[in-house]
Amino acid sequence: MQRLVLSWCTVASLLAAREAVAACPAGVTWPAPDWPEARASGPTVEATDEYLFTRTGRDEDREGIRTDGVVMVHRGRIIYERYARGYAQHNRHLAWSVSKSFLNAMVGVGVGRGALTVDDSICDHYDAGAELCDVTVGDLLDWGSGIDWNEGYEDEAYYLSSVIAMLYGVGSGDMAAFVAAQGLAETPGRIYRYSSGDSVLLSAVLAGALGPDLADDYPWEFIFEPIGMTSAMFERDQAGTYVGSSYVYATPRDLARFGYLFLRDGCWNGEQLVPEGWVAASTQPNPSFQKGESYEHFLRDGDAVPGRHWWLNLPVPELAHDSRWPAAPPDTFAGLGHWGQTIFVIPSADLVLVRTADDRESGVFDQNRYLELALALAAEDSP
Amino acid sequence: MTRPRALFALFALALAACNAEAYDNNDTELAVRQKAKEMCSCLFVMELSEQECAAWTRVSPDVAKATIDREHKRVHAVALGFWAADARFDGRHGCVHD
Repeated sequence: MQRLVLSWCTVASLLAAREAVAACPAGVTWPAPDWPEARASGPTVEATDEYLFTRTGRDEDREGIRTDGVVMVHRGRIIYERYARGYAQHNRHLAWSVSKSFLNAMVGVGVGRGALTVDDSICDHYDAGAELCDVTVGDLLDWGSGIDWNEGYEDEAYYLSSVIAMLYGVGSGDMAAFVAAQGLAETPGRIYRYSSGDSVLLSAVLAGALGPDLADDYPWEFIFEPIGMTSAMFERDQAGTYVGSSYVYATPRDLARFGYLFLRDGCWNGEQLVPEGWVAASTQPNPSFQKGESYEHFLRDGDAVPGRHWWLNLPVPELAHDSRWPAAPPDTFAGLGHWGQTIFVIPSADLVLVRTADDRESGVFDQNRYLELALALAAEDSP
Repeated sequence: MTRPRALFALFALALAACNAEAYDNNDTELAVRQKAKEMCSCLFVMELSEQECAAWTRVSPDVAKATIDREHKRVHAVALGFWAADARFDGRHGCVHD
């Protein structure tokens, strides 16, 4: 355990050092109004096209790799972009759980404005019931609330899944209230367990902290408008709570803007939009996970290490758990969503990658191969 | 299929839909609510064709059928003549169940 803590401390120091030198850098390219382009060409592009866009299964059975769109941004310019399967540049795509990483940024802006802190009890801002008042904002960011939850999808009976009940069933009218009503299964802050319920509850807590004047507009005021995400839509439940677990939509080009915001440590065109230090804190192994009581149960083979509503490319040597994407550098972090939605941010390569997809057959698409190709394209992109 | 077999199949399907569950929903009801919401979002947020959206929203059991009101940007879904759900488009807030 001591070795594990030391290794996290080393990673944290490296990340903090990166943060110290990178805040609002001058002389970088911004997509204002739109992305500059420096399209790659040659054999690596052909290999990328072939891997990402060749049908490998029966489409009517939803087999194989089913990429809908890809945008790669290197040094602030689009080096690769392609669409398929009925999608074009103007089509928004559902981000699914990449939405959670957007929620992280919105909470960060709320913290920066002094509306809440990560140490606040959620009951300071939302009527979650007395049982949940030991849960903090940080616990929700860590997916460490301890709230009883079954994050099952199509692989089991729908009626057993908490997330399906929340999105489509008895919880869909007031999703945050539904999550709170599940009660605690564990002590808050002790166990990491991935939960869309924690994310939706966090949306309601953030709205409560911001108050009625901002509760409707904060996604646009905090993130979408400042970074020029004109295509963004964010769906709410019938109670008016943003579905922060699942329902951000945007074009791949606009999703890349969001990745670029995090690539630039929360700066946008010279302005510190997300507070200084927030990106670094969000892209370290989260505190609930670091406590080490849960990762053997909830870190399955091939999983990425959880940050705060982001996913990290770090190994856990004590568990003989390799980094999730060995082809990519260890500072890589990602927003990951159902059916293959991804935003990868690779600071050391100055690279943002967006992929939208409809991968219904699990395990077919090799994210590591995709990263290998993208890094090769970036390497060929001369300064 | 003979009439007794058809009646038995219908009875079995209804029984499956009414079974005891962890949450107070059954799979048919969830499927019809999923169809209404996701078909609405696919058509009016993602702006894909009806054919593409039918593929995007297909789940198992594939029992829900959607009726689309493009003028008012609404979707009505039904299953087995009993379960029904509606969703409507609400501008930048996308689609929401009615």
